[in-house]
Amino acid sequence: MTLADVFSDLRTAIAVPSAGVDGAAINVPSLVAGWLDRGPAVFAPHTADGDALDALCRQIDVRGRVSEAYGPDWRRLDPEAPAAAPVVAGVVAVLLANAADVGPRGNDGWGLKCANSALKALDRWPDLPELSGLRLAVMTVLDQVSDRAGAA
Amino acid sequence: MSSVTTLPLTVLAWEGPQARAYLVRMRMAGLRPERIVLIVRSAAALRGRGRASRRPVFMGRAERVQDRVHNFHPYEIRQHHPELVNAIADAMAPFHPDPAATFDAMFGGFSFDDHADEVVRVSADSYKDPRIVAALSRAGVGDMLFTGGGIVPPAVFAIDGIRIFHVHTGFLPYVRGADVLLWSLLTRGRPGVSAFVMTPGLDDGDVLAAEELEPLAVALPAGPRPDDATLYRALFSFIDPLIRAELLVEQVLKPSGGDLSGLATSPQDATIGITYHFLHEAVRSRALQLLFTDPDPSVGAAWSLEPPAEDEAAARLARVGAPGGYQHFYDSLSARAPLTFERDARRADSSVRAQSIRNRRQDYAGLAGNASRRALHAALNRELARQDVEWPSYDYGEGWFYQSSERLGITGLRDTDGRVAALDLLGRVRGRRVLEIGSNTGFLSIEIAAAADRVVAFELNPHLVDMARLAAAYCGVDTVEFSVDAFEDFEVGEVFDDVLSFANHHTYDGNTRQSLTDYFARCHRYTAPGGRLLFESHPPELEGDGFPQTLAIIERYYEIEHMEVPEYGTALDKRRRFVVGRRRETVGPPVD
Repeated sequence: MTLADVFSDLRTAIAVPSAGVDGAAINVPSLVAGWLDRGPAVFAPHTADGDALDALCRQIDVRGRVSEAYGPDWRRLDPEAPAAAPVVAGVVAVLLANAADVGPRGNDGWGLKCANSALKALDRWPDLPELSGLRLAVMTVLDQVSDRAGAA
Repeated sequence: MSSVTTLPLTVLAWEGPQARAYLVRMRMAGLRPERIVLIVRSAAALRGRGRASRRPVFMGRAERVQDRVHNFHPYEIRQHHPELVNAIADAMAPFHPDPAATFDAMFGGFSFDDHADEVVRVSADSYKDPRIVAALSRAGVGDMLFTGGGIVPPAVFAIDGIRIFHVHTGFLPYVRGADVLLWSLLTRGRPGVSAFVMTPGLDDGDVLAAEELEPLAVALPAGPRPDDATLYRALFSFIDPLIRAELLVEQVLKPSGGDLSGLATSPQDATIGITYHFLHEAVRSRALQLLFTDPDPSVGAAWSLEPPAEDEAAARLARVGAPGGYQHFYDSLSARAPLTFERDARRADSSVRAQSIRNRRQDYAGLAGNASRRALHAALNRELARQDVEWPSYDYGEGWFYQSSERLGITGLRDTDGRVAALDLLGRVRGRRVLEIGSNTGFLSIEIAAAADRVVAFELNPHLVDMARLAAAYCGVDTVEFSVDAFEDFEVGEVFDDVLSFANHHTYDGNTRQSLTDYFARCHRYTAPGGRLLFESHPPELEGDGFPQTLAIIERYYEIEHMEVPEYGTALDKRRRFVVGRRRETVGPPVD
């Protein structure tokens, strides 16, 4: 199973709400669904997509949660509803796609940062859909990081 | 006594390696902050419950408990993994003037009271505690150094006139966030470090200084690899704090000349760089593999040191390693060693011995960052100790080395490299078979081995020969044959193109059992037809019967081709005659 297959399967599993959450500036299912629709890609940091994925890294790494929606500048809402498992899995898939070039001549920090967050997410949510495909992808990234260590 | 500059700086000290490294490094540079505000957490808080005690009677005890808790890992690692700490000290030597001494100062008898004019102790459990803001406000703090330990709350930034400096082990603006030293190794291949003015944001303040360092790798000692948790703790106990402290002192505080108000800053470009978070343990493990490299198995094969073979030797050497001896200074580099050497130099019973001890002190400073050289010096020192116990005659090195060797990092009483150059020995012996009489530690033979076809060297003192063999092995020289012999008994079935007689024709250790005539007759016997004697005299005051008499005897056996008084080296190198004589086929008449 390729990461593109995982993208496709997760996209069908994500239900994008027709109505937004009150006070929400950022709707995570919509955001992730849009990324999955476009297929695996590497975002450039400091672009709209890069900044959004970077913010989700922070939610995973620092807060240990991904919510359904956020206020302006990724401020948390009150009350805060957790994102559905396929959405979180979608975030992980997108992270792993961004880590695709990690290797001795890879995309340096960005890809590694995404891989790091994907690993943490898989630890934090061990029952995500498409888990085997995600784990396969993360193993590939880890092998590439090891190659990187060996090449240094 | 060197002067100390007090800086208009407050150190907000969160007990731990980072604060201690800053203060120790400042002290090494002759700097000290005017004030330390030391946060003292309550014992209850350190155990994870309760609030800090407000009663000052408990502050001293709380401070001691805090020391043990916050510095638990460096203390533990120093105790249980000293070889790891040594390896780190070696690896850090290019980045820091004296890592081993700094570790000793940080974790051996450290007191905050030794590092500032004023130490204000604040009982607080976190930076959120209003007593911190109150203490800083009361003290009228302006420029302040943050030493980690938590997030600085807005109330601290709001203190009138405060400016907070922080040093971060990432190259700003490219590397921000947490675990950045390891992230830097993974993503940029080298550590980076930056000093900046803190803001309530994350690592986004104006930069005071930033640089990327040379690649860093710690060569782990042989044996089981410490687990990742230990290596990670060692990183934050011994590596990260020194990198921060070095930049702070060398690139911020020292250039300021004591006037921090004039420090130049530059804003960061917010559109570049990545903010990293703590590493997942799988990625961290790979980063630690980059930083802590396993020993190369071929190193031990090429260069190994044999332990003392006999119980007696072990007991004798244990005595040398005991307090008062020197061996333990080589087994683990120590900040106390130079002080001990200097003390012993002052107590020495001769100026030569005092010079030797100071030479030892100088060479000791060159061992940090060079694990193989330290191993060599440890082995050589062990042999010196054996010599001290077993050799009944005069020790020409008087406790350290008679001969020097730049490539071994040894300063001797005689300048070997200067001698080789001044006498053009490499040119003279190139491609020739050489015999060196009385080779001492063999450093000269090792130096000329690169040019000579072959060198045979002998020496009466077996300890010096053992040291010569160690040195040759270290240098990878295998074309010198060392043996223990007195010239009177030396027998070899070959002759040599050049016979080196360097201040050995008579000795003042009482071991010479032959006349000058017999000595030069033996030289002649081992000189090949057409071969040469390369002769160096003693200084005039030690030349026995006098140099004219010596020269007259030489002339019986050799036709003098060259004579000079070369100018080089140490006081003991001066005023010696250097003579080159061509072997006579017919020996001249006896000298009256």
